[in-house]
Amino acid sequence: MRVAELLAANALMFVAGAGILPWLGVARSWRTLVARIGLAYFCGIVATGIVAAHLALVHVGAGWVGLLVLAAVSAMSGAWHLRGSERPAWRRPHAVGLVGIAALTALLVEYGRAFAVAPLNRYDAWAIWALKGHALYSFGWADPAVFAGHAYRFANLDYPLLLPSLEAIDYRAMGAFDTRVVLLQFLLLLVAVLAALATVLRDRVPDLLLWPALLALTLAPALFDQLLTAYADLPLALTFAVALTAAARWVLTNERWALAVAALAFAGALLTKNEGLLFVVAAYAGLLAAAFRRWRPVALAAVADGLLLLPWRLYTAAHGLHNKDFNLADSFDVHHISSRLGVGPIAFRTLGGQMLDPFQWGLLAPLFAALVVVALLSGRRELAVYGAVWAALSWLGLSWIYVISHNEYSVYLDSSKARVVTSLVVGAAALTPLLAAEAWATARARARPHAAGARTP
Amino acid sequence: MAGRLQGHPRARGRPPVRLRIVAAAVFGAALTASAVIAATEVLPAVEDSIASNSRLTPAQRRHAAGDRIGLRPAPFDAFRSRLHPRERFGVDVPPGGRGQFATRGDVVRAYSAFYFLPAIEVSHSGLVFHYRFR
Repeated sequence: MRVAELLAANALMFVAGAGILPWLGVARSWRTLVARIGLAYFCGIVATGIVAAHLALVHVGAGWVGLLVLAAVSAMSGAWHLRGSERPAWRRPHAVGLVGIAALTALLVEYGRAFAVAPLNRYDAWAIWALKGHALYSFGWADPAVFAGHAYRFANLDYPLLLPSLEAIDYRAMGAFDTRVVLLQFLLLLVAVLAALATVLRDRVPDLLLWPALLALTLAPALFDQLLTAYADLPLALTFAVALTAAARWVLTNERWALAVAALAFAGALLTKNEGLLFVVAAYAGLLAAAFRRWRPVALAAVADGLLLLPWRLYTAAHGLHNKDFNLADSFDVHHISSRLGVGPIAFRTLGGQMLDPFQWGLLAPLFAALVVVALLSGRRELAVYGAVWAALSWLGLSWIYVISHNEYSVYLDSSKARVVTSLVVGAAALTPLLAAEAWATARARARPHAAGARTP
Repeated sequence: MAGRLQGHPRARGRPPVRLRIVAAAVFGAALTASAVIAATEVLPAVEDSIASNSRLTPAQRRHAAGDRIGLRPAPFDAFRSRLHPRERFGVDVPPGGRGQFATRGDVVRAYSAFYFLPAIEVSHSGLVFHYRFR
């Protein structure tokens, strides 16, 4: 019964997402709405999470009523937006696509069996995320008695509330703090992200590239293991990966809807975990490096993301909540930095080794690195520059955190290295099929005039 | 094309067809290898996870987090049965040994905060949960 209630809540998130698509410019007609419906579930989850996380700051809890209102308003306004537009047309699905979907479905069903029985027993899962979700569910808002309480400092109170808000919605939908069933929400997020990635990439990447790439990502042992822990690192990575990929599409095509989806997903990443800020800033830096002449829409998207993060930042400032592991201002503490500069290269190498571990991530990271080089050589410089700048800044930024932290670096690095690289590897894996397809397309385009020339008498 | 017309076997910067096919084959093989390596790790892990966790009783599942950090469930259950939502409580626990980031006492305090919700843990209260390590 509780599983059905959880699924029903997610169905409402899907409806909310479908209604949002016309407003994001993703769908300008019923036909494009159906063609890009794969983005609906992801956008619905992220938008619901953002709305619920903000409402939690002003003493409004989101449950069935909130979900129903959001879904109804979104669906009706979306339908109004599309009134009189072109109707959907049936398109025969490609065989490769069907095989890919079937393989992914089989794998996700297998994962589902594990998620259905796994206990919530990892430290951060209960001490941070489930605790906050339970508190939001029980009190209806981010009550400072808990969310700024001295006794709760261990729970990283400065972490934003998107994930706990989603969990709280699920608990309300189920009518119980059920830590077993709520794990399915993590798997459902993976489903939503895979559908979103497929939709963003489908008409830029051949099926023969796209589906094996998504399957390789989903099979990564670290993805399964970390998703099952119910930590926020994988939800952050998945949300960020959609943003990164949609923004990459914008770099190539200049379609505004792609940047709108990216901005929404970047906001979701910012509100999932503090580390999201590093990855989002790195991605925006990559966007500016790759498409500097189009800086205005990039700046607009960045401002929108900043505004969506602002309420949470005001809440943490008002209650004096700080990161207990590091403080960015320590970057300017010359004495502290000079005593820990040696940590930087160690962290950089360790994180690199973590990303390259084939038994954690397969060959996803080296494939991305190779394709960035190939894309650079083949002339797809915009996309390669975007990917390279984002990845380099993210990697350097993560390494820098270990330099400025006051924690004993080896313990801190050992306990976090597997998780912090997740957004880097998942983001890279999501960009890989696009890089490959663009490099391939460029090589083919170059070959065409060559062939024509050969026929010239 | 200019290069072609001037007698060059192919224009500069154009990858030969064979090279493109080889590159595509290498990429496809790497992607397949990635999936195979990952699958050999993850699929047994999924089966192990199902096998070990599907045997858990509701009580074991409820105490899974506490069990993992070596806490006795009985004192927690006994104290929780006395609590009301939003009721304030304190925790009395010795510091215990030091772990990577916190003492065992800190971990008990954290677990109490989690396990006793929706009661609210505070620094000082007339209602106190006492826990001693064995």
